[in-house]
Amino acid sequence: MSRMSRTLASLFLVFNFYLPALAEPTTPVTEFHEGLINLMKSASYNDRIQLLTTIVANNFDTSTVARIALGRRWRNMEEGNKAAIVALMGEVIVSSYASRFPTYTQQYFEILSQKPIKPDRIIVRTRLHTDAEIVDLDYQLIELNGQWKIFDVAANGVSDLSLKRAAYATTFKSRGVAGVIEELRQTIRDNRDKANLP
Amino acid sequence: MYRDFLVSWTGFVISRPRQVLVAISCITLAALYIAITQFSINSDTSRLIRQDTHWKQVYDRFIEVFPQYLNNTYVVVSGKSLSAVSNVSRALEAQLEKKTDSFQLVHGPANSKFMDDHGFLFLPVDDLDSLVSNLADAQPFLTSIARDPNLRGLFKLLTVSLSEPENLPGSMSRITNLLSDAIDSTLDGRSLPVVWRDEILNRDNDDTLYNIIFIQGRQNFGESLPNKKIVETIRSVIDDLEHAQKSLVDIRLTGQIPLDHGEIVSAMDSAGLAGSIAAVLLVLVLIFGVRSLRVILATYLTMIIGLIWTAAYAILTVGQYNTISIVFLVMFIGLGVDFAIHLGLRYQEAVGSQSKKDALLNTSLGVGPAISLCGVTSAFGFLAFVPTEYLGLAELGIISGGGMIIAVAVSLTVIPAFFAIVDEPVCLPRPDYLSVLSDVLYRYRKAVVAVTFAAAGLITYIARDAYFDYGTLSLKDQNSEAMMTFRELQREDIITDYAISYIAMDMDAAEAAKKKLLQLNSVSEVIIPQDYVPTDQEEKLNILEDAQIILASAFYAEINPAPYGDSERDEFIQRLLRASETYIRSPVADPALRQAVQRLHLSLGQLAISDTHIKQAFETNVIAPALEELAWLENAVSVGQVELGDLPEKFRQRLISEDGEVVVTISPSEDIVAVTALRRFTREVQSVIKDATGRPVVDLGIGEIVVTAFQQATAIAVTSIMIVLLLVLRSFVDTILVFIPLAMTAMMTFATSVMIDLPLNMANVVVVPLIFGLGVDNGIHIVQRFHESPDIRDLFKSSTPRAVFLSTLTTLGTFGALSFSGHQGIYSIGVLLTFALSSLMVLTLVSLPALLSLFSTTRAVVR
Repeated sequence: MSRMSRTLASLFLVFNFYLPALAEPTTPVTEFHEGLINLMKSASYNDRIQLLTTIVANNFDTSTVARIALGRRWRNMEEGNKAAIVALMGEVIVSSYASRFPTYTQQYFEILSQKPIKPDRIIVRTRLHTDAEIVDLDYQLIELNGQWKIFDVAANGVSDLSLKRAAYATTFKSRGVAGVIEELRQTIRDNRDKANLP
Repeated sequence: MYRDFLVSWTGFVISRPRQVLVAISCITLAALYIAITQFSINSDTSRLIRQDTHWKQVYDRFIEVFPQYLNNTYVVVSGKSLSAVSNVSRALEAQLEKKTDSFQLVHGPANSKFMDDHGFLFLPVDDLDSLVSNLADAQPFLTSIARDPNLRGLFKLLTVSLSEPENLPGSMSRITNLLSDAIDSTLDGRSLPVVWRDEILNRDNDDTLYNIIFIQGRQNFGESLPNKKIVETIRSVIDDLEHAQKSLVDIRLTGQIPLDHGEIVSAMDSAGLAGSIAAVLLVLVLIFGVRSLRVILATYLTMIIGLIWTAAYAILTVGQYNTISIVFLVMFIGLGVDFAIHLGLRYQEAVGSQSKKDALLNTSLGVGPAISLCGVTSAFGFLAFVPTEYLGLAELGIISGGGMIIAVAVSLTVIPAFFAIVDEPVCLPRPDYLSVLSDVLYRYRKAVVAVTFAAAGLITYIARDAYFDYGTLSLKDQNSEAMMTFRELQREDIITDYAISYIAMDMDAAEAAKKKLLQLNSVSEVIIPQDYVPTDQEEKLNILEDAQIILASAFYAEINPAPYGDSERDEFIQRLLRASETYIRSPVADPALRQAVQRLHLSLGQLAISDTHIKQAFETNVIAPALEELAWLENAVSVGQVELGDLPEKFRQRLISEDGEVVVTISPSEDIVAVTALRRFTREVQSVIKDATGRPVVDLGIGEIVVTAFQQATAIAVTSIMIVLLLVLRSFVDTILVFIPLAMTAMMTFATSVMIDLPLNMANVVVVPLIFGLGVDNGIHIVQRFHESPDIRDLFKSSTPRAVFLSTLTTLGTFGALSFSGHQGIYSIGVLLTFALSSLMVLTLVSLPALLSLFSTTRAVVR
């Protein structure tokens, strides 16, 4: 973190005494990035899962992800099914990141800018530097009870949420709740297999 | 007394035949001039009915408050491509709007800026939800173009996607095909911009989409075809329209004006076609039956003179034709020759044994009274409609009634004059087909009578199921573009022609009436202006909010500022070429996508080696429309709540008057083509809303007038003809005997209507009174000759049965010709009359002589 942003952060700390409800939108993104760096350094899939589960639980709004991914029928769904799908959606997010980075090779994240969209929505633009490429990661966050939560990550412009919507809404339409749950479980298993880690 | 007149008139004519013919020629030329120069035809079906009814006043008041509904033309743009339908319709509307001298109103409700912005709110919730899923599918492409508004972003995305086949967007193969099309069209010089909207919205169904432009023309009633100019102007605007997507849509016309215009054109075409067929059939019948060139010539001459006189008489008395009365010009070809045939044949019979002068005088004396009487009875049949409320048929009655009298007068003048100057007709030998009949008939006359009565019972039994089709639309040519389009829109539930409308005082009154009306069994839906405001807006706005979230990366993209040159473009074209080649070879490739990528690879290869300006043109064709669609999308998913006041003014004006009165539209819960359902629906609605209008009310109103007119006309025809027969035949029994074939033929008409499923309608109701008027002629001839003959075998040796047979055959030919019409009203007259006259011919030539020989006692002779 540069000195500039450290100064900004301390300024916000001061402000937070007066505006206790408004957290900094970059915080969940930074926490997530730090989690990812730690994850890269871990060689055990189970450790990775454990590590990310907490971070995703704290910084992601998985119920918004599930709601938008499933479309309008989400609203009329039984609460039990909703809870199951939200939980699985969290697992999908966790497992997909756990499987994505094989090793740590000096990758680092850079926070570029923020773009408020609505009072409760913001885009945080970041960049992942690896030795092979630079990936633009744009986070969309929503403010819930004074906390900013991530609900979409666009990598080089391809939105994770839109991929989920395109996939799960179709499944939901054709195979219902059971189909979605099965597909989520399959994705989690696939991620694990793909990870190729002990 | 009439015989004295006939003798002196015929004597006058044959003493100076040339002068008479010259005078007739002069009158005919004058008549021809009038008939041609002043020809006019009125197609407004509502004007065929007397106008002072309650439903007519209600309708007029409705049109007064909402004049937009009067005399509309619908330009229907339809097709499978959403963007093509909407773009072509917009371009067309813009062109039509320029023609302010021809049109007073041009309105495409779906083409407004409002609908462009708020269109998503008007979709059903489920459709909108699916649409957002499709947007999610297109998100990577949209964002790539938004982030890098040139080929670089898009091609990069394609390259990456093809290299990681497990993460391919679902829309991949469609997008690749779209790009291949764009490359091909740029290479072959068509240079078509990519139509992104259909792909972005990915309509996965094959439904035809419709976009309607309402047009109200400035009507020009001065011309003989009042709506012609409107229809032709619209057609020329359509023909002149140049649009890249024009070939993807159908553009058709329907609505009141094209329907009415089409009806006139089809009625005139029908009259022309039927007239030509009739004229040819007439020659054939005459050659077959008369076998004398001179008689045929005389008959034809008489018919043509009579036709011209009648045409002029129609213009001078009624002033114009309507789509039904124009039919008489065709009928005249068959009816007008009858008298000439009787005269010609009798003269042919007489001239062998007498001098020419005696033969002509005796012919006039022998046949004259009968044909004069026939002319009068036929005229009664036609005139029977005159006192009724049905102006359309009343006009036909005046024209035809007069026409019959003209035909008698012309026949009694031209035939003697003609034969006074030409030589006697040479008669070629004829097959004696009728004498065979006479022997059989004489032997089996009792059986014939028995069979006749049995048949009467059977026909009456079948005829009970005859019904009247109230629909005014059923008269029109069902295969015309206007009619087919109209029915298609009806089928697709786009227009509800079978709805009842009324004007409520204000919105509250409309709401209250809606509640009441919805309790009626016969009502399925009641629409008030408020119902045009999109429903479930809260949920739809939530769905659109999801769309904003899904596409946020596109709407709030950080634009890549890196400069970009031709060599870089060549480089990423090459990269995509390599990626596509790898994908094609990949064992995991999806077969459909492989095919699409293969095509892209070929096209891209061509693009790679073409000039820079081609590549630039391709880039523009792809990127510029995509940016436009992005701007539109961003706007369309961000709209807010819509209220009645937000609807476009032109649209609101169709629903709410300046004084705040509102239109309420009521749809039936059952198919109301059947009269009972039509009546139930209309009466139930009228029990709540007295001043209701709309096609059901108008059709029912017109239908009831027509049915009453039909009953009155039949009663008038039957009574007046009965009185004439009693006076002339002076025998109650003979009058009844002549009436039996007529009544049976009338029943036969109903039975035919049932058997061939051709319901009675506004046009063909003319048939029944007509049967009495026309059919009685033959009966009179047969009775008269029967009483001059010792028995029916002698009757059949005379010229009368042959004349009856021939004159019925000519009538049959011309009426049969009407059944070739496209105009359904004229067609149905033709078909019913053909069946009716065929049975009448059999009944008159077979049953009537048998009946006469069994029951007739008096020896009455027509005087």
